Amino acid sequence: MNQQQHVQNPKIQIPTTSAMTDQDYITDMLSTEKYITVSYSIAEHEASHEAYYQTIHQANNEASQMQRSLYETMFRKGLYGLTPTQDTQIQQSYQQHTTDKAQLPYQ
Amino acid sequence: MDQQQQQFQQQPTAQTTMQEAPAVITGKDLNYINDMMAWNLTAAKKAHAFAQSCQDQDIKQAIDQAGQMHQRHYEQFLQLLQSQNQPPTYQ
Repeated sequence: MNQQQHVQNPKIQIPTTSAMTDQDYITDMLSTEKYITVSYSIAEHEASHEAYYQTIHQANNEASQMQRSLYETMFRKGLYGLTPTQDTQIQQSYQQHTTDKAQLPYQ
Repeated sequence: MDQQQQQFQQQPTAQTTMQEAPAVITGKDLNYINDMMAWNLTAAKKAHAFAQSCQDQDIKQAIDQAGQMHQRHYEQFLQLLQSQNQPPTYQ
């Protein structure tokens, strides 16, 4: 996996139209889950008692899983592609952070 | 309801020091619950409508599952409000 090579499944047929397509529908649901999980995170931090907190927290976890699952479906259908970055860039970052490790306070 | 609220305004003595927050729903909690139910209702309805228009069966199923989850969460939040009929329990 050396050079930048785009990784993507064959894309399913999506018509070019002003009408809503399958891609639009699933993208919208993905956004919805993202928005809801962020909102749950704020809500759960404001929860007054344990049982109530747990209810929100669990809903948050499930919505978060759902977001991943929608993303995986999109990837399978070729609606998402990934472009790996160059190895040299990763190594550079690794070097830098390995050096910075000396600043960590705990022995 | 008024009586119940007064209970919590009493100064706890050394013997009745609460180890955790009692199961009360505050005004702030209720505001959030109302909001969360609104998000889930809209999300469930939207997913249902979207899924009905989907061509691809896998995408349809994925969106339907999300919609069912939101319906379940709506019902869970609704239940939080219903259980307020019981007196709060202390540990």
